[in-house]
Amino acid sequence: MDIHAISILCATIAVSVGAIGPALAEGRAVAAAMEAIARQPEAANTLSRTLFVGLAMIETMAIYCLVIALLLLFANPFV
Amino acid sequence: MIESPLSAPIVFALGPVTITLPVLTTWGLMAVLTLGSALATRRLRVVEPGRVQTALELVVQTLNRQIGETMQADPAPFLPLLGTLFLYLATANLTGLVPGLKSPTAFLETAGALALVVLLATQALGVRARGLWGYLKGFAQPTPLLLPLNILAELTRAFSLSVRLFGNVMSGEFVIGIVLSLAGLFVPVPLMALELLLGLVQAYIFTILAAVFIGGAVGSIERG
Amino acid sequence: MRIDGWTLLLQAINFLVLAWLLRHFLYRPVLAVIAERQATTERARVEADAARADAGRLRQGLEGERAGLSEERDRLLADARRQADAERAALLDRARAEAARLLAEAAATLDDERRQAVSGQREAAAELALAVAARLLGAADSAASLTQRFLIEACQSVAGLAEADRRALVEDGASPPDPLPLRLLSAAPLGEGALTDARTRLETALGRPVALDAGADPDLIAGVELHFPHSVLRHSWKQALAEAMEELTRDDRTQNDAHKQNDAGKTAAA
Repeated sequence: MDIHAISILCATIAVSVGAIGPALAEGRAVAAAMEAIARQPEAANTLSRTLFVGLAMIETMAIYCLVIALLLLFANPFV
Repeated sequence: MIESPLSAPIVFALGPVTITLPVLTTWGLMAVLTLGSALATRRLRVVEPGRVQTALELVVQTLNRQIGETMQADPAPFLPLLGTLFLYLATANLTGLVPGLKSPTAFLETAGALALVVLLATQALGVRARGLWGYLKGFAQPTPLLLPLNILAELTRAFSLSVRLFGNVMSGEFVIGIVLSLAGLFVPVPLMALELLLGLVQAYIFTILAAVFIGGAVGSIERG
Repeated sequence: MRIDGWTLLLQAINFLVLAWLLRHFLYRPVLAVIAERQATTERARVEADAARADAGRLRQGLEGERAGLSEERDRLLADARRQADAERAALLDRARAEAARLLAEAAATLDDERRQAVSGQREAAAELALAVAARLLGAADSAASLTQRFLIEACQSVAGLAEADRRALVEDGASPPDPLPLRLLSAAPLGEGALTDARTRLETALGRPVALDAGADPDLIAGVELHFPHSVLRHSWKQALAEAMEELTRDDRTQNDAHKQNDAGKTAAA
């Protein structure tokens, strides 16, 4: 395997593995937020705002993986 | 092979200064925002405000309140910096949805420049609020052993801020581009709707994080 | 991948320029307008507060006045009630006193009338009794002999008087004429012998000569009257009946005293 094939493989692995963690984390976050809203509907505004921000933060982890993958694909310093 | 999303295409060059696409787009956004503000604020009335004025007041008030709530301090000195940050990021993130245009924030240079501005503003405002020595002493808290780690955290925060913004916007546009090239004309519309939401959320997050950093520097809230 | 330094620099500058522009064109005017509106609202609120406070004060004053009015009314009512009670009590007292007075007057009038009726009846009974007695006595034919005896008794009673009394009968400061004129009234005409006997008895009793002037008066029923110059000695049934009448009509309360006086008077007269 040359360096190109390895780069593509690693990019795929990075994205797929990097998607697992944030997906689980987002699921838990949403579940907790739903429970909290069900318990305190009057706090739904604050909760959903905080939830969105938290989701974006968690998603950032997947984005980091994506950036790494894109770096491997388009800006590989070893090619 | 599609075009690399990581490098900014050069539009033209003025001698040694190369003018890239995000710079050009930013100029356009600046013009739009400034002219729009100037026009909208030309006829402000205290009683019976018009629809445009009401919307403007709502935006400014909301920004003011959010900044104040986040920093737990009077938002007046920070409103120009943080408010502009949010307005510029929101418009820039949404620019990518306009056909033929690309978000300036989808390039690492823009995100990095904004993160740099926030980093420098944090240091400057911290020094102004607590004095040079008092501010620098803050890095040695709680023990001087943590001084390198604190400085590193400061830089990492800025880096993380810029990469988060750039990654989100760029990946969104990239995915839309890929789906568009693979599937067809109207298929990426749901993705574009998601990108609309994500763009605003990212602008909000960037602004709030900047507010938290600055608040920690000036001492109004616990250092993040 | 390469980071374009010019782009980085230009974007940073662009952002700062935009911040300055927006601050100039957006935040400052909008914030000024908001502040002005807030000031206006605050002013209006302060004015409204002042107006409300004024209204509250006014209402409080009115409530105070109303409470005062109610108190005043209560007080007036209580006064009126008290006054009415007092008047009613006074009226009752007056009425009761008047009733008592009327009752007493009625009782007194009744008493008077009863007494008058009793006395009138008693008088009438006495008069009737006297009339009956006079008629019965007048019809009796023993009047003449009785007159004789009455004359003798009158002469004896003159003789039985004390010296001073006898002198008082005859004299009155000045020396009496001689012979002493005496008028003798009798129920029935007296005989010459009886007259002489009477003059002799009187001259003996008085110790001086007397000129006896005889007369008849059937009203005396039976008996005689001796008319001295200054006094009269009555010894007749008429006199006895008059005394009985007087005694009958006299009040019960004074009867005893009057009786005694009468006895004394009779004794004196006798």
